[in-house]
Amino acid sequence: MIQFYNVNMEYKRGIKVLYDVSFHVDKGEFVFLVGPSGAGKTTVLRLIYRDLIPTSGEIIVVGKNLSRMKSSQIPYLRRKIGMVFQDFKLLPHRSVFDNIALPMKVVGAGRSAIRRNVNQLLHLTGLTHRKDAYPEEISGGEQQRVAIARAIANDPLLLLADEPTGNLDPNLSLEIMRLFEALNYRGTTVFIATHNYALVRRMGKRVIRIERGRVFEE
Amino acid sequence: MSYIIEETFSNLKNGGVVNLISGITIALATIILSLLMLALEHIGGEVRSFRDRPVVVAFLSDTLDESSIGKLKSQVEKMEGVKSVNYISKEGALERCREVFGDEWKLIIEGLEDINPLPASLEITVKEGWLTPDRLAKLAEKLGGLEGVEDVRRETEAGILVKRMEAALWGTGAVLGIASAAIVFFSVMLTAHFRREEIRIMRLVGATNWFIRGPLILQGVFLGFFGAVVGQLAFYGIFRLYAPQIGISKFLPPDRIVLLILLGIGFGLLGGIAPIRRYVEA
Repeated sequence: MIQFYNVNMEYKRGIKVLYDVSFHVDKGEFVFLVGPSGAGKTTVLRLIYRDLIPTSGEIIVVGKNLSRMKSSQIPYLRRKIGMVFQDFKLLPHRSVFDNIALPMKVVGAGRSAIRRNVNQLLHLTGLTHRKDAYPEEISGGEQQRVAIARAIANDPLLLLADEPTGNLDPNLSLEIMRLFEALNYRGTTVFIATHNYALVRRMGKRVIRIERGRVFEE
Repeated sequence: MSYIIEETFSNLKNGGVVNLISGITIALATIILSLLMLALEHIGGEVRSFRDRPVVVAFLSDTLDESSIGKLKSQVEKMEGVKSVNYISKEGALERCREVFGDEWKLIIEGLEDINPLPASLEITVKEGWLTPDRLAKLAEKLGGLEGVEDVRRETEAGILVKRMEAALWGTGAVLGIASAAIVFFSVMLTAHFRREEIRIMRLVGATNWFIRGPLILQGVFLGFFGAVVGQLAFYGIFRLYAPQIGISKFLPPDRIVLLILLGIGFGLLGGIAPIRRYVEA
């Protein structure tokens, strides 16, 4: 599902963030990418959804070589990937319902299919009573769940999450992890970047460690 | 598609004053263009009649016999710039006067019934490019030098002025059109700028460029259409109010109205395809 081959990443101002990174994540796996802040976790995720292009090396995601991918193909790659961002990236002027519906609108889903699917996701994430609220009117934890619901709206092949429990209390964090686990049982590959070591240990899943831009398998 | 339309209306609603200014600008441009078109509709008729009207008349001496007149006519016909020559005899001139003045002619000619004071003449129409003051003056000078020609009159410069006005009117129209497109352009740019974070999120969830651009382009088209229709309605109101006072009764023909609305849409579309690449490209 995800293959990194000797990937190096250097930002424009000469700041090198990844050094010869290689790892594989197979289809249907549940993998944590753990490391302290600034280790390069977000960069790895951004490379996976082709928000960044590596300085060198090859990346293959969902069977596509991202180095050879045309710009016009990027939207179609992203439709196969669900992303939960650290800062949620919710549309501030849209309701919870509309935020969750966005990926379905993007792929041209019908109105009734959108309504049905969004209502299911609202139920799954416990947000039914908040569906008409705007992001600024709900708590951080609720915003997190909206971001998760949006990420899984199109039933993606791969789910990426960047610190998805960063704003949640331990109980809610575990609840969210159980939700990811349930999605993983349904066949979605889950790749989560986090520095919450306690939670990672509790989940007992495969762990890839990243430190100062270098990757180590645990 | 319904999403794109929803987004377009959302952009129009949220764009507020900027969109309103764009719409008003296009409406004003449409009013001015309508006024120019209406003026051209009326003046245009005059211009066309000038092209077929004799703009130079050479009055002939009474002493010329028929064969001399024939020779003179063919000599004039061969002159550069001359399109056609029509001979009007003294009797023909008299007949024309009778037609023009009707009953009043008897009062004018009273006591002169046996004398025809009107001269014979050659009425000359000129070729397209010869309707300029300099060329007409040259032609008149040449005609005046011919034997048997007593006097030469040429039309005033009205025809030429009309042509120049026509060009000026279209120039103004073009400038107004470009100005309208520029204002829609900035309006769409501003929308894209204010929505840049939203556009980025859309890109991240897999929106194609056209999915993002569609509402922005439609926004421009709608502003163009709305502005042009409002402008036309306003101009019709102005026309109904002032046309009787200036003696005009005919409004713009339907094809011109459609053309103006299409122009509005076109300029709106042009503005809608604003350089928003940096906001929409993945």
